Amino acid sequence: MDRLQSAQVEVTAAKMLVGWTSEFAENVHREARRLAAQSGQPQRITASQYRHAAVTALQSLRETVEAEVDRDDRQTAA
Amino acid sequence: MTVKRQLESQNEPSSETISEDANDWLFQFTKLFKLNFIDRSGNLPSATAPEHFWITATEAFLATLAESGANPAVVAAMLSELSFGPSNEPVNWTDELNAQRFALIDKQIAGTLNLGERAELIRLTEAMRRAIDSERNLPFEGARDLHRQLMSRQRDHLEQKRRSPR
Repeated sequence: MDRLQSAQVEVTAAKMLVGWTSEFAENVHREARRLAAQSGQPQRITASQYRHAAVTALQSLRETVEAEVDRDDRQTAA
Repeated sequence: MTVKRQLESQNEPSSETISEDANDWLFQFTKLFKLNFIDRSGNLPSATAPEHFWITATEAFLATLAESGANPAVVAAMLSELSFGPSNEPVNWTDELNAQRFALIDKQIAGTLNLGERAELIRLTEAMRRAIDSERNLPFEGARDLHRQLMSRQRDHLEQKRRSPR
């Protein structure tokens, strides 16, 4: 952390980031759970399944954030 | 803050597991903890001493535990156990600990007790209670000592009588 250029972060922004990371984690787990069920071993979720699930969850998060960016842009333009 | 802890190799398959319930609880707890920390850190200045982050983190941690249904008294007892060891182990209540507690009570009366000191006062009060309640400090233990002394004297007396019969 650069002390000389320390900035203030809007509380809304900090909470938004918490929301994204939480949504991402929940989506990874949900998708990995689905993959584990598909593999025939629903009682054990592996690191590999989490990695595959993370790729899907990243795409989902990207779409969520892009929709929010579009909304910001529309509000700025209006 | 510098994070020193390294993640274990994520490429090696692990035989260790945690339950899905624990995993889910962790997600929810960390999310709530972060939100509580953010809510409480709004008044911190830019160049904040680490102590303020520790206090804010402790406040956020306790608030998150309370929101998850934990009883504050149980949490205080758990913190005391973590500091002084399991409750079945006696606390060595020293003059120094006693003086520390009185100093904190004075600050509490003066209204200058900060959160960290409040936590310390709770911890010390709990430790003092445990020291007072411990078995060795109960009157029963005194009676036991007296019994031991009496038995010892009786043995001495009988021994003397055996050595010098009339």
